[in-house]
Amino acid sequence: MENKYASAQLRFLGGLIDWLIRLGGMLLILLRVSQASDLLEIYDSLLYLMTFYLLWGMGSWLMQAYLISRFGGSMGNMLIGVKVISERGANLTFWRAVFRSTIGALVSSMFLYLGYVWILVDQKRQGWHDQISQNFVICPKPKTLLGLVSLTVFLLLNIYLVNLNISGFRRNQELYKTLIRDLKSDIQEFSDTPPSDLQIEGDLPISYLH
Amino acid sequence: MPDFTEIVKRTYYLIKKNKWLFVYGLVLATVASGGSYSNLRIPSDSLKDWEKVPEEIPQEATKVLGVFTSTFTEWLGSVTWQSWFILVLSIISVLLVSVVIRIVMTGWAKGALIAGFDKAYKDQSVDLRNTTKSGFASAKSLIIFSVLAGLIGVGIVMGLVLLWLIVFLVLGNWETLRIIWAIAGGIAGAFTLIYSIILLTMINVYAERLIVLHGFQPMTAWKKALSLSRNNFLMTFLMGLINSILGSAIGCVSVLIMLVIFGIPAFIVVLPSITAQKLPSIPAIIFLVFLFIIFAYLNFLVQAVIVLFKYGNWGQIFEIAYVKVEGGKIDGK
Repeated sequence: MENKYASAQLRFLGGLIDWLIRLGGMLLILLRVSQASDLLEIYDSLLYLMTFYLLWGMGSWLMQAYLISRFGGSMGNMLIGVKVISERGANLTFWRAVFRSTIGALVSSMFLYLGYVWILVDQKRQGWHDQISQNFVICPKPKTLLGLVSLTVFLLLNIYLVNLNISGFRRNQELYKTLIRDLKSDIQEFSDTPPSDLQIEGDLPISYLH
Repeated sequence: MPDFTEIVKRTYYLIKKNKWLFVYGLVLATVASGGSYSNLRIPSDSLKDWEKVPEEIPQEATKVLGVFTSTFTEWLGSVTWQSWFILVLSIISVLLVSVVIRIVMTGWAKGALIAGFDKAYKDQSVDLRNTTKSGFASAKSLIIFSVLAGLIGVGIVMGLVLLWLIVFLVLGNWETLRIIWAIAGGIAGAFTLIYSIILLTMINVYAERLIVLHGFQPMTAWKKALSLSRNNFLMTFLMGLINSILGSAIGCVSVLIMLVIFGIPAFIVVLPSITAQKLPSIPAIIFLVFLFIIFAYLNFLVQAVIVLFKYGNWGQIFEIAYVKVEGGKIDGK
């Protein structure tokens, strides 16, 4: 079994694909903020973004745990032909997979990501998260080519989404500039004015809304 | 009475020999202590400064930033209740999951560290693979025990306060007796509270080890730990005192050393910008951030060492109290 342990490079490739999938989801939602062209729409999209990021942050780890327990690996793992198995050779239970994806990941990344670097050192290619979750990561049939192709596809998709977001933010840069300028002048005015002299001033600038 | 110097020396030797224990030390330094081992506490004075913010500022800010406030108010009115409901639900879910993860992580790490030290005392090899099993096996009982201990603690505090209040109210018409009770009862209550806190801490120490090493059930462990604490009160109290002094000493000395090592280069880098009354340059800021990260990680490591010393010393005290004095005959399963 020793030579079937997944190499650190292969695992890094799988991890990178998983990370790109997660990032892609976040960029997709960020599109709503970048495309917002007035203040009300910005507030709206920020609320949407916040809700989604909270759920996405939690849901993506739960989904990963489910995939590991059901199919033996996350999306990235499956694409490169890597499998996460228990010491007995079976799939991890759901809760053990949740433990690995949450507490295991925290323990491995806690001190300068030393737990992940440990995969390079360990004879059985186990990181700290593998050791504490009592699992092995094996590679019965490496699919390096498929992995590289998938990585390229997800990378291009992410670059495309980043571009879309940047162009959206650029299109609305005048709105942000006005917003920041007015906010700055308001703050400046506030700091210059003695508290007793402060008055309610200015109407709602219509330019923000359209 | 055991030789405490020998206990501390043995712990030092075991920590040096079994480096894997550091992983659990780091976990517990992060989650279980909840920052109580932190050497970088915010001074209470600086916290008080927050309270010194003039009361009129929020009101005046609303006046000046009225433009934004009114846009925001307009937007608030347009958001449906379903959107708020989903947001609140997601925040609560994330908080709940974080709390659960923290509790499980603490229980698991405590169990694994206690088992790891036990293996170390017996001169067996210690690694993540053979200690994590004990962590899993005892996590549930440790979590139940911590809830139980917390409830008992709260119960004692509530009971004392209630008793004091009831007596105070019963003595309603006797003014002199009320004053006497307020002072004497208050002093007696404070002493009882301090004694209870010390005793609860001792019970915690013994019970956790009874659960992990001897498979005791939480309630049985609590009862047995109570008798162990009473029978070995002085020895346990002294060990607790030594642990506190040791933790403070290690924390203070390490922070002082690190301040000298990192503070002097940081000061040299920042000095030109202070004299020129300018912001530091970008390379200087990067250097300062880099120094701060190293400082934070080293501080984190020191906290882990303090946790390890504490667990290593308590493990030996438990060994002496339970195995030698009590004979370790009781089966809690």
